[in-house]
Amino acid sequence: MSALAPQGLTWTVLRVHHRALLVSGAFLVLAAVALIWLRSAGQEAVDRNGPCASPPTPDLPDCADVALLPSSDVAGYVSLASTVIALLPLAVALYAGAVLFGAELERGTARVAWTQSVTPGRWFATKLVLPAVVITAGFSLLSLLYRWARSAGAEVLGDQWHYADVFVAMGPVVLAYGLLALAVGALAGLLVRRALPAGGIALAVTGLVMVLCERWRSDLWPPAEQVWRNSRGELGNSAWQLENGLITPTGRRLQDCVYTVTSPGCREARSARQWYTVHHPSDHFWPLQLVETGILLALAALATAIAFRVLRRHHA
Amino acid sequence: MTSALEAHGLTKRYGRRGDPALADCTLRVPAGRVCALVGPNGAGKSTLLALAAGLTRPTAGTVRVLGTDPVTARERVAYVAQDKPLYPQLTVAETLRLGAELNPGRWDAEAADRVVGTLDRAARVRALSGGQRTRVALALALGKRPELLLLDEPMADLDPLARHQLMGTLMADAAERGTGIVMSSHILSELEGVCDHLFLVTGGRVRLGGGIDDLLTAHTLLTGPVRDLAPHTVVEARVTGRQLTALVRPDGPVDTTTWHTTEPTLEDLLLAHLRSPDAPPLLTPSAAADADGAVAA
Repeated sequence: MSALAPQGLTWTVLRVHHRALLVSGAFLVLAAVALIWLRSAGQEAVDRNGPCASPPTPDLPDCADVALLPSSDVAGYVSLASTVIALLPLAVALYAGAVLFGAELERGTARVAWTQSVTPGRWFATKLVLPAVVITAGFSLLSLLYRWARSAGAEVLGDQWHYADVFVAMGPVVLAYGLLALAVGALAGLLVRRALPAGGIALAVTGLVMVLCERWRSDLWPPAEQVWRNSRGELGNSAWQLENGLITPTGRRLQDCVYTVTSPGCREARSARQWYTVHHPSDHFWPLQLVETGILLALAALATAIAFRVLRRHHA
Repeated sequence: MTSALEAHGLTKRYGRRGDPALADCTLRVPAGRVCALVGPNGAGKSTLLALAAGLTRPTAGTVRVLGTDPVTARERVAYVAQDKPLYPQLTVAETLRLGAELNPGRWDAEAADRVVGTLDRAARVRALSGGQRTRVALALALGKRPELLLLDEPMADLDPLARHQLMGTLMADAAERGTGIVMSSHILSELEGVCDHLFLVTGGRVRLGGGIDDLLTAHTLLTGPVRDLAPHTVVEARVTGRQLTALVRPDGPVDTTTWHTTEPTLEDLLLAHLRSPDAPPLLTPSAAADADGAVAA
C-alpha cells in the first residue's frame, strides 16, 4: 500500500461515503464530457452562423440542414448547463444534511467513531474538510469547463453573464454556495439529528440564501450611470441594465415615460433632452462575484462555528 | 486505589423541561471489577454509560473515568451502545479495518477476530442478525484493548447459547487483562455469578450500590409475627394474614427468637428495592464516591 493511501479517520470517512464519492465522480466525468462536447458544438454553431440558402447554392448551405444540426440548439444547452451547475449546491445541501450528518446522528453511527479513540470534534472536522475538498475541486472544474465551453459559442448564446444561473455558474460564487450548503447541512444535521428533516432544512436554507442573493445581487457593488444628451443612446448587450429613464430640464428623473412619452402622466417628459441608465457593465462581474463569495463564505464560517458549538455543548 | 468510574452529583437533563434522565448521581466503581448496572427501562442506566463514554455532556456534576475525564480516557475506554450502531454498508472485514484505522497503536486484531468467531468476513453488516451484529460491535470494543469496557444491554438480542459464549469471552478477557466492565442489564440471570459489583438505578437515582456480597450481607429477610421492626431500616414489609415478611437492613442484632431470618438472594434484594421506591439508598463504602453524599453500610 502506498504512503499516500488514506489512513485512519480519512480512510473511514471515505469508505463510509464510498458510494457518494463514486456517484459524484461519475457525475463529474459525464458533466465534463458534456461540457467539452458543448464547446465543440459552440464552435460549430459559430461557424454555421453565417447565411444559408433554401434551396442551397454552391456557396451557401441548405438552411434546413443548418437548423437540424445539434449545434443549432447550443444556446439552449449552454443555458441548461448553467442551470444544472447553479443548482448543484442544493444537491450538496441535501446530501450533507441527510446523509453526511443527519443519518449518522439518527442511526447513531457517529458513535462508532466517537467510541473508537476519535473525539467528536475531530470526527466533525474531518467530515467537513474531506467533502469541502471534493466540492472545491469538483465545482472549480465544472465552473472552469463551463466558462471555456461558453466562450467558444459566445456569438450564438441567448443568455448574458448577469442572468442568475450564468452568474453563479461562471465564477467562484458557485464554490462558495457549495461550501455554504455543506456547512448548513452539517449544522442542520447536528441540530435536528434526523436524516430527512435535516436534509430538507439544509436544502430550504441554501435555496433561500440563493433566492435572496439573486434578489439583492445588483446592490452588492455600486452600479455605473450613463447619461446621454440630446439623443437617446443604448447600452451594449453585455451591460446589466437596472434602471433607465428620462431627465427633465428641472433635473427630475422619470422612469415610466421612456417609451410612453405621449401618455397623460408624462407631459413633463416631452421636454426632456437627456436620458440615463443605471447599469453594471460586464467588468463589474468580478467585483460582484467577490462580494457575494465573501458574504457566502462568511455565512458558511458562521454556520460551521455554530455547529462546533452545538457539538461541544451536546457531546464532550 | 483508583476507580474505574466515579460520579459526583452527576445530572443529565435532555431538553429544558421534564425530569432529568439522571439526577444527582454519586457513585464509584472500583477499578478492575465486573459491575452490573440494573434498573427498569428509562432508569438512567444508558445515560450514565453515555456520560462515562464521553458521548454526551452532563448538565451538572462531574464524571471521572480511569482517574481522568472521559475525553482524555477515550482511548482506554470502550463502549457498546444498546442499539449496537455499525455502518450497515460495510462488511465485517471492513468494520474490523475501521477499528484498526481508528485505534492506531492500540488495535489488537487477534482479540477482535476471536470475538467475531466464525462470521463470514465478507458479509455486509446490514445482512447480519441482531446477535451477529452484537458480536461485531463487541469485537470493535475488545479490539481496542480497553482498560474499561462499558456495555449497554449487551446481551439483549442474543440467544441463550450465544449469550453464554460471549459472556465467557468477555469474562476471560476481563480476567486475563484485568479489564473493568460496567454493564447495564435488566436480565438478572445474565448477571448472577458474573458480576461482583452492582448498582441499582431507578428514576435517575442510585438506590443501591456496592459489592454484591456486601450488599447481600447488609440485608436480612425476616419472617414472623407482625411487630415493630425498629431499629432496623425497613426496605419492604408485607403482611399476609398474621405473617410478616420484611427485607430489612439490620441495625444491631436481629431478634432471632421472634423472627426467622435468612440472607436474601440477589433477586429478593433487587425486587424489594424496585417495589419500594421510598426505601433509603444504600451505597457500601467501596461504592461511595465521598463521605457526605452516601450512606455507609
